[in-house]
Amino acid sequence: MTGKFIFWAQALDNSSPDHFDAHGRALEPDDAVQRQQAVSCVSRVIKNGKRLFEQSGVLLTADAGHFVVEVPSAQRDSVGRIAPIVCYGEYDAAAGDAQWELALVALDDFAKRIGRNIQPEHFETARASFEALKKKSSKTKLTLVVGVCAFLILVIVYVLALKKWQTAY
Amino acid sequence: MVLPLLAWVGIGVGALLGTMLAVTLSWDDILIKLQGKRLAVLGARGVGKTHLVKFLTTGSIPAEYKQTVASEKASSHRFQLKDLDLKVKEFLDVSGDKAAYSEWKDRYNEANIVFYLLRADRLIAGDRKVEARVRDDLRHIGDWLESSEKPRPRFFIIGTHCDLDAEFRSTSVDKIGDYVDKFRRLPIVTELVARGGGAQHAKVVLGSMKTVEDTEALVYQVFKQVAS
Repeated sequence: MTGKFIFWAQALDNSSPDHFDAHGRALEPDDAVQRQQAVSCVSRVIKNGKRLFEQSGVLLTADAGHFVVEVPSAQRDSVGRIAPIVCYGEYDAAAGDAQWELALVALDDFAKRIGRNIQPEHFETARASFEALKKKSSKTKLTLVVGVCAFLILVIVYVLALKKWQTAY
Repeated sequence: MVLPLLAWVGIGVGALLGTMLAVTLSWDDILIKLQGKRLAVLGARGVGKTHLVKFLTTGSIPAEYKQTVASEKASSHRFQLKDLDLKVKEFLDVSGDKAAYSEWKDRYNEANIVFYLLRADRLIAGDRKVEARVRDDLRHIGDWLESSEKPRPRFFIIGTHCDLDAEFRSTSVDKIGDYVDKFRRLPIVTELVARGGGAQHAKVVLGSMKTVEDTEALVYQVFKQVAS
């Protein structure tokens, strides 16, 4: 279930290593390479992507094929700070709703495995953030189709004009 | 007949590119890109990175605190602090976990100015865990400093949470210099400064970020040195 995603949460005591799960496997604290790779995946989306959703502490950023969603957990850290859980994954604009449900199930599963839980309202907000991503994907697809059509029309008009010009002279 | 058509297509494409450029880059952005400094704010968890980033990009401090897990984009900002006109380019607020070292390195390599934050109160109290962590951090930063081919960024070691140290609280403003000197003489701080390129390159600044005024005073201290 968790195979497609990377999950990341900071330890509540702020001194133990962060919790990582990549492609269904918990990354041990001494697995520095894999952990740094996981961080790089997340950072790449944050740096190059666009923030599409921000509500009640739930943040969703996405680039053309990946998303990063940050959801607050019910627990706070040792100094009273909100302790969010981050989920990174690939998405396919053409695929159905199942991919988003899978992400939510996997997120809940990861939270439970590290002794946290996500409040129902945050879970619903996370679901709404995926809706925003779905809308953005379909809008991008539509823009692409309109763009290609416009380009084709321009080419046809140009070719017709060229033919007319050649026959005239 | 054909040429006017081509001209119209050219105008259309030009207008489209112009609009895209105008949307992407405002005049202020262009100025900041030309004159602003790119910052990297590094440090372990809970040292005050997000607090400082928030202050530098909005002039306020966070109303509610949150662990920084995924990095956060901090927008470019231009502000006046006493006699200083500061321009900060867009940068990323990064996680303090060791797993983010590669991310730190990227930020370090892009930066003109690097702030390394640490808990001064914990170092003064002789916290071995904090010592080990800052030693590890500075070992990495020292390596990047030596291996980098680009001009060395300005490097500041910023000791935070001094308000939690009783001696700092009882030190009058005119004696703060002695307090900072005493901190610099701590063996771990001497070691950190050496790893950061020596006293010429690694400047040590101490303070508190408990209130907006404290944060402002600390930021002023740092940028006064950046400007000098």
